[in-house]
Amino acid sequence: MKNRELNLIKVLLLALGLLIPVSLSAQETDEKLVGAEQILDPDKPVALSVEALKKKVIELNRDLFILEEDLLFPANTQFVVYVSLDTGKFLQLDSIKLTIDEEVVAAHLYTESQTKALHNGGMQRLHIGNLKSGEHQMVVVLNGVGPNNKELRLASDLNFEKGSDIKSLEIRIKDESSNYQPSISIAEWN
Amino acid sequence: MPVSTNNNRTEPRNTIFGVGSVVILLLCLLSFPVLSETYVTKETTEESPTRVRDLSYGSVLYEYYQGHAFEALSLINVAKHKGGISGHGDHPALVEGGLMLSYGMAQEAKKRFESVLKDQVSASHKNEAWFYLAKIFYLQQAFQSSIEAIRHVDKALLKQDDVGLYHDLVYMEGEISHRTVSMVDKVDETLQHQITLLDERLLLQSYLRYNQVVMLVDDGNIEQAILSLSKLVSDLVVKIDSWGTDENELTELIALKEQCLLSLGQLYLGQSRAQEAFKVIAAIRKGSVFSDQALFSYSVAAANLGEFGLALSALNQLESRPRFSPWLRQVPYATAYLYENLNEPELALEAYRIASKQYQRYSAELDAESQNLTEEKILVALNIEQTIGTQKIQTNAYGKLNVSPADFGIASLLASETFQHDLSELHELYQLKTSLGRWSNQLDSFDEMMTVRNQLREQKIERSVEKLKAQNADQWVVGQVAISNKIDAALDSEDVLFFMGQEQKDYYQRIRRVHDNLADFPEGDQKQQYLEKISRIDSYFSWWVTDTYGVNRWQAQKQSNALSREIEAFTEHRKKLDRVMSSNERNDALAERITSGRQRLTVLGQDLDISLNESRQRLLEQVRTELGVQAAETRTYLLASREAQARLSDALYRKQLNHTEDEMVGKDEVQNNKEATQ
Repeated sequence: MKNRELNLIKVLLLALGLLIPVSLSAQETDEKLVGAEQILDPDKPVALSVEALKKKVIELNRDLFILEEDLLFPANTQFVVYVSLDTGKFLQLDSIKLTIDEEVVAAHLYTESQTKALHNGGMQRLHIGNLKSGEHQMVVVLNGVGPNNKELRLASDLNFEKGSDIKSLEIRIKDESSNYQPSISIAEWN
Repeated sequence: MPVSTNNNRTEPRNTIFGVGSVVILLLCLLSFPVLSETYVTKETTEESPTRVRDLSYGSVLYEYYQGHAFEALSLINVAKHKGGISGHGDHPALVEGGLMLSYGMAQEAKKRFESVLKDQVSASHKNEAWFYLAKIFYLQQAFQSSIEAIRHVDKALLKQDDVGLYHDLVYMEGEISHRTVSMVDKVDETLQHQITLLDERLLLQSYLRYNQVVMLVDDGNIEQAILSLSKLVSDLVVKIDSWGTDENELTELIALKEQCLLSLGQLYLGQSRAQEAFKVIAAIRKGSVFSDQALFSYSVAAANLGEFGLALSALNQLESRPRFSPWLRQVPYATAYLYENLNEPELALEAYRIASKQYQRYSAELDAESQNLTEEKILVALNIEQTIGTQKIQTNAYGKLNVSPADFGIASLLASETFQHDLSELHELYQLKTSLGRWSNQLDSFDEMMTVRNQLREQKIERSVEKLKAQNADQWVVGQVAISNKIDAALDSEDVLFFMGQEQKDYYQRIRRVHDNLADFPEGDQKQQYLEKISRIDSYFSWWVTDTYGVNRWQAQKQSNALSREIEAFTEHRKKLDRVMSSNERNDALAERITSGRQRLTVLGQDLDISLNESRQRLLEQVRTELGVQAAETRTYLLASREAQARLSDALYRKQLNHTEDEMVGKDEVQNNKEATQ
């Protein structure tokens, strides 16, 4: 009984700062490594490894994505609009509005992470829909903050022909070094 | 990890001031901003991005740069399915590998990077692939393989291409040397080198400096450790004061500073420099993740300075904290021990009695907690019961969760690599389950779409059938055949009259009428004149018809052929229409894809439930083990408190007995003296 109490007092003395603490013992470290390696072992027999599950899930998501497109937007009527931002030093993008044949089909307010993604070279699929073959008109209006913190409103339009294939358009926002202002244009992809 | 599962110990653990364990805890708790630096740095250092040459790749990058690994991976797979990404060489493979790593698919990511290395790729891409391979091996704690991979990295090129990855590499090298090299001097030399390679403004550099202190403590070089730690604390204070707007990194800096203060205070205590310890520990915030440990250290420092009132006050504050924290287990015993050392045996006895009762209650509670432990309780302790499986929980670039536990006590478990891994896995499995639910709804809506499509189709068919009926299409065909037959017969019989033009037919009718009229006309000269005249007309008409026979026949045949073609096209169109109306191939194919998706979803759901259950059990087992260790410690404290209680009671009883005996002896002596006097 006395021994146990003495041990405890020794522990308390440690707690009271009479001995300097030590870090993990070598044995504990070894246990830790072994434990982690076991966990990370890809051959570890689990019901179905999480990686394999994830792989299946990604494949399923891919197939559903394509199925959705085939169902809702058949290739002969599909019409897609993307947004890209080239450098974007002269524009802090705030919102965008897309009109097709005088009907607003998309409007978007940008978050900080979305503008960063655009800034880094990502392209946003702003709109996907169906259009009949023939002549159409697209108008895009964007709002943001330009140089000297001035509110900016830029617009562009395009008359285009929709054929029997997928039609893809890109709204390009870029910096004009000539006048230190952002500009907007619409490009057709073949 | 720092929580050992050694159940053979009979003493309560000295869980205080485990510097090494806290380093790991910090790295686990704070790893997100460190590892996410890759993204942050890219924003600020990259040249103007090259315009994407493939729209699908642009969409992938849009998700990638927002940290949406799953969405980006799905889009890459869609692009591959539709013919691949063109115009970007092997970069998509690198991006895909990075995304897989981020989505916790280390093995798949490894395969991607290895395949990139086998291809003819640019030096930059190869370099990046080697870096990521090194990172994967490092995460798997296969340090030798990681070192091998690092040897292939051209550091100058990596620094030039992506300074964030370069910093990550330097930090990784420091960490590997810390964990693999047995000679302290050599490790210190390597670490010092890595520290000098990193900008002092970087958080990574502060971590490496902290790890260097840990090594000095391990090596017994306490004075140098105190100096280094003091310098690190003052540097961190300056860094915090001049910090920008990044809240995440600021929180991380403050946590690191407080960890340093706590370690410094503990080192001072170890050197019997209680005054300095008291000062640095007092600078730790009450709401800090280290506040329990700090409060205990504070009481120790106060006790060493003879400030017993402050020490007791600190211990009393700790008493009121939730009991899960192993740091608090020693408080009741320490309080009693403090009273005993203050030469207050009665108070100490009472404190030991209270401690015994508390430990008894704790022990019962821990047993009950272990028996009634549920996944939900663990999630509540981690403060993620509402957010697990959602995107509200941030994960770092390697899939580890950024969790701020509601119960600081669980932080020790959270620091373990195994627990972190299982927790991340549980989170991912819940995410998958959420996705499965969403897809099930999506498939339901697809079903509805198919129903609507089929209904519309039926309606269209009905309308078409009615239109066909109204057209009397069959009669048209019969008519065309009849005309064709007549023309053939007229051709065979060279029936000149049959091929007459409209004008000729009109004349022919008029001539016939004249002949009919003349037949009823009375005989005479006038009739004769008329007959001669009509005869001349007949002759002329015959010549005219014969003369135009070729042209008329050709016209008739031309029209007949045109009609045949029209009828043929019409018949073909109608056949096609009949075929389309009788078969629903396209919709059937779509419906089949929906059915197949649903079947796959069902199988996945079953697999997911099994994996989820296993993951849940592993997590529960770890917490139960931890609770078991805590229960064993509590029982040891209980036993010790009772033993101390018995010892003190005995001592007090003896003291009282001696006092009574003394009094009795005194009384006897007085009585004897009285009697002697009388």
